[in-house]
Parts: sequence; C-alpha cells; structure tokens
Amino acid sequence: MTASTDLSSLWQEVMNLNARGLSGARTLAKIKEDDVQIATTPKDEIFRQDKVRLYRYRPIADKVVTGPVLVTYGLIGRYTMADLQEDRSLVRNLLERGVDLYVVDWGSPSRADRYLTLDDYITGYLNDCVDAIRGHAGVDRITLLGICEGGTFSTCYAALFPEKLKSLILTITPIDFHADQEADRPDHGFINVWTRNMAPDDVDRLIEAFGNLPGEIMASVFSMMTPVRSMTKYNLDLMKVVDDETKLLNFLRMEKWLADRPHHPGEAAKQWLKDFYQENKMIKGDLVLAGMPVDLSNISMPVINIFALQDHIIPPACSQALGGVIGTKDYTEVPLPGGHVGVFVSGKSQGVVGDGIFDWLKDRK
Amino acid sequence: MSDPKDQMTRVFQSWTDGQRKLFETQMKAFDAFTKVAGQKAGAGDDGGAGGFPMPDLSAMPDLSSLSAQSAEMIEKASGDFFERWKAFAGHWNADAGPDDVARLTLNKFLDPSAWFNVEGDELNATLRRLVEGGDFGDGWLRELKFLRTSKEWMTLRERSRAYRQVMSLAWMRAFRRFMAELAPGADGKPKAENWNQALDLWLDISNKELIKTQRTEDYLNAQRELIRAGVDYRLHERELIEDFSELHSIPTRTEVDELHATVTELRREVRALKRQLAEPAKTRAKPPAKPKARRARTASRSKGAKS
Repeated sequence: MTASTDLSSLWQEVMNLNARGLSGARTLAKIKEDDVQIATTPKDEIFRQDKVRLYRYRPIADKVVTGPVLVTYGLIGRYTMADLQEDRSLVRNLLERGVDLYVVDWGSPSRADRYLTLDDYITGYLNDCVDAIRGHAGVDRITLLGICEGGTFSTCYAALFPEKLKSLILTITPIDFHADQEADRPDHGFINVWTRNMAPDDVDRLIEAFGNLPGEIMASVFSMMTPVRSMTKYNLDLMKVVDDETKLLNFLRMEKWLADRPHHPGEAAKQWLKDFYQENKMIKGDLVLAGMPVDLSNISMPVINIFALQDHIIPPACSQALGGVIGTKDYTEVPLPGGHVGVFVSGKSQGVVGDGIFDWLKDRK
Repeated sequence: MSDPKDQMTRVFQSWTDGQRKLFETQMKAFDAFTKVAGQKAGAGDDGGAGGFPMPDLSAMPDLSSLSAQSAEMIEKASGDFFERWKAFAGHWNADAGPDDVARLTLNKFLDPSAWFNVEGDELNATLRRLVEGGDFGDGWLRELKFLRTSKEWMTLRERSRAYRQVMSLAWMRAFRRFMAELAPGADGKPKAENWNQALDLWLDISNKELIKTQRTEDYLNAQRELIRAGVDYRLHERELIEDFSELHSIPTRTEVDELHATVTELRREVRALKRQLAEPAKTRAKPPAKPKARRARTASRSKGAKS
C-alpha cells in the first residue's frame, strides 16, 4: 500500500475488516456443535448384520413412484455426503420426487475388522442388503445407486448378480483405474499416481503396520491433491465465510463430513489398492470375488453413468470407460460440470442430478 | 477412525486463532491509518513495484545446475535462498497497512519451512503421527531410547532428509518465479499492486509447483522411501513391544490379530449358513463359494518389491 492511497478507501477497508471480525465473533458465539448436523433425513433400520445397517428413508412425496433404490457408498468416506444438509441433499431430492430410497451404512470399521475382504462386502453384506430390500418391498429386482468406491462395488455386484438388479445408477465411479494416464491433467488423478508408485509389498506392509488403511492417511492423500487449498482452508477460506452464518454452517457441515473418515478394513484395502488401483483387474476381466469371476459383460440391465468433468479424484476417463465393457444396450452417460463431491453438494447440481436420475428411472419403470 | 469431535474442535480452534489474529491485525491497521492520515494524500510514493520492496534477483543461485542428488549444492542454494527470503520478509514485516491480513498470510505461506519440513506434507505428517504416536511411561523409556538409535530410526531420518531436499528445490523454483513475476513487465506494470494480489500470485505459483513436483520421479521416490522407512520403524517398534508383552504375559498384537481373523472366519460361516437356511431348497445344493481366508502374516518384505 502506498502513501498515495485514497484515505477514504483506506478507512473503508479498515471498517470492513472490523465489521467482519465482529460479525464473525458473534456468529461463532451462537454456533454450537449440535447446530452442525448432517444426514438428518428421517430413516428406519430394516436390517442389520455385524456392523452393517440397512435403512429405508421415510417417503416425503405423497406417492412412491419408483421401485426400490439402494444408495451404496464406499468404505472411504461415509454415505452422509449424499444427505449433507436439507437444501443440498441428493437423498431429499430423490425422496421429494417419489423415489423409494434405501441406504446401506457400513459402520465404522475398527482393527477388529481387519480381515474383512471386498468379497465379504460385495457378495456378503451388499448381497444380503439387496435380498432384505427385495423381501421388504416384495420385488424381484431393485436398483443400485453407487457412489465413488460404492459405485465400483455396485458394478461388481451387477456383474455377479444381474438377475437381482432392475437397473444400475453410477455416480463418480472409477472403472478403469489406469485411464488417468490418457488425460493430460497434472491436477487430476494423483491418487492413481500415488498408489501405482507403491509396490504391492508396500501396500501389504502398510496394512501390516496399521491393521487397517487409516482414515487419516486417505484424508491426507486427498489433501495433497489440492495442496494450496489445504493450506488456505482454515485461514483465508474460513475468513471469507466467517461473517455469514449460512455459509459458515455450510463450511462446517462439509468439514464434519470430511472429518468422519472411517478406517478402511485392511484386507479389503489391500484388494482395493492392489487389485483395482495397481493391477486394474476389474476392467481387464481378471477380478474374482468369492470364487466368482467378475465379468462386466454380464451387466445387461439399464445403466446411467454420472461423472464430473472437473473431478480431480476420479478423472472422467476413469468413469467413462464403463461404456465400452458392459453388456447392456441401454447405457446413458451424464457429464456434469464441477468436481467430485460437487455432484452432490454444489447448489447448481441439486436439481440437475435429482431430476436426471428420477426422469431416467421413470422412463424405465 | 478419526474422532469427528476432535476434528471439529480443531476447526473451531483454527477459527478462534484466526479471529485473534484478525483483531491484532486491526490494531496495526489503525496505527497505519493514523500514520497515513498524518501525511498529505498523494504527497509521496515509495517508488517500488506497487509499493513492494523488491529483492535483487541477480544474486539468486541458478537452479538449473542443481539436482536432487547433489545434496551439498542444494543445501548451499537453500541457504542462499533463505537469506534472500529473510531480507525480503524483513522489509514486509516493517510495513503495515489495512490489508495486513493478506500481508501476514502471504508471509506465512512464503515461509519455506512450510514446504521443507516433512510435517509440511499432509501425508507424511499423518504418517509421522501414526508411526511415532505417544511415548509410554517410564518403564518404556529405555526401550524407546534404544529404538531411536536403531537402524530403522536412522533410515527414517535419512529418508526425511532426502524428502526435504526435493521440497527445497520445489520451493526455490516457486520463489524464484514469484520474485520474477512481481517485477514490473515490459509495460512497466507489476503483476501485483497490493498484498492481496501478491498473495493470490504466490498461491497460484505454489499450487502449480506443488502439483507438478508431486508427479516427479524424485518426489515420488522420496515419498515412497519415506513411507517405507516409517512402516519399517513402526513394525520394528511392534517387535519390541511384543517382546515386552510376551515377557509379562500380556496378549500381543499378533495374538489379537489371530483372534480377529478367527472371529471374521466364524462370522463368514454364520452368514453363509443363514443364507443357506433362507434360500429355497432347490438352491441349497450350491452354497456361495467361501472367500479365500486371509490370515495374519509376518512383517517380512517379499523379494521383487520396488526399492
């Protein structure tokens, strides 16, 4: 700042700083931890096994107009992202339109769950949840709505048990774990690079040392993907929203979701990092779960594949690879602007994703 | 799992710290206002690029001759850069203005220690917390001291140093570019005319440099070796703890893992039986294949791993 600066604007900037600080202090004084709630849409437990819980969301619309849809998140992060807050909730958007919605909660795996495998999760727990919904809703087939790693689980499931699925909805789902190399985007796909940089034995020893893949490690790898954003989050970014209670609460809800990062069960993590990320077995047709080969050409039901064009965690090419390997002729791709979680939490995507999924489901009743 | 309450507490703590700094900053801003108000508006200018004290770029070491292997050269170059940075930051610290938040933040982000220290990297900081954890009570101190003179500990320190060298080069590249871009261009106009613009410029340059560096072979090698060293240290620590536990008839980690493996296997069998009972009689002849059991294994590294 030079001495020639206009004094009135200088004074105005000082006053603005002061006002923002005071307003922020008042906002902070008002906010209690209980004010920062996520995943508040009412739901009822209909099935449980070990740490896994299956819930059915209470309908919001006057009439349920679709068959049952099961939201399947992965083991990295939690399903609560799909219901972050009332006005940023894929769950609410779908319920309001009349979708019969269920969600599986994998719980919070501890070291005692180290020996659970992806075979257990996909052909065991997920299969049992699907059967529980079929029994609960009185239908032969349901729809899976997979998110991220949960989308990959859903894809495997659809290939193994096509007779139980009416349709498959995938969002921000990795299919070809090496497709990041096709795109010339140095800011995309660092997790793919980071994982491939380790030897298989490094993965084994990491799990041996910690028992599970600690949630803290995955959180750190995600932070490294946006290095400066991670540095500025709790100072510059926070200062931008601190005097606006609505924005501050939005910020804190997202932080709450980010902080709730479960440990990935050890054996399942080994499979995820080695079989999927390093060896890319699923798309190559080399993956075997519970003794059954995962053949993606068995996926014969209608499929919609939603991905984000600016997704730095799952680069678009990794998701788009699905179209070329599945057996169905009813395949729809929906590219959306924005980043990974933006598909679920950005203000712009709210109606678009809900409408897109609902209309697609309705056309396939 | 990380405790969400702890995380939230940290968020609130960061927020509160930010507030405190903000109010401290305001005090400086009011002082600055008083000083400026005492001068005639438009009477003077400090003559720099938009008022910035500019360092002498010509005296900075040439990075093109450095490589990640020439540790001594990197350390010397780092030292030279640090001196330039200190001089530069010194000028800034002497200044004060109403946009002091940006100035202070830029100063903090420019601090090379945020890049050089292993703790400056999110993943490695996390690994270090997980690996080293908390120390035991007095009874453990002797073993801990022994552990920290072990081959694994020395290797961990060595790998940390190698990592630091890679990051030193990255910071120097970013800082050099930042300095070059701050200087007025051919049109005589600088890219940044106030502290906020300078901060944005540094964040943009450092983000690009960090992302680029993270994909280099030097960085990936250094980080992989650091992770290996951290894991080796942790496993060595576990061996010592298990020796201590066995001596005092305390269940070891390996024994507990074996127990968990057994419980997991039993649960699998229970689930399979439940499913068999629930399925129609016609499908009972074909129970689902049992997943391959994955048992506890030793910590030895197999041959053929990347090194």
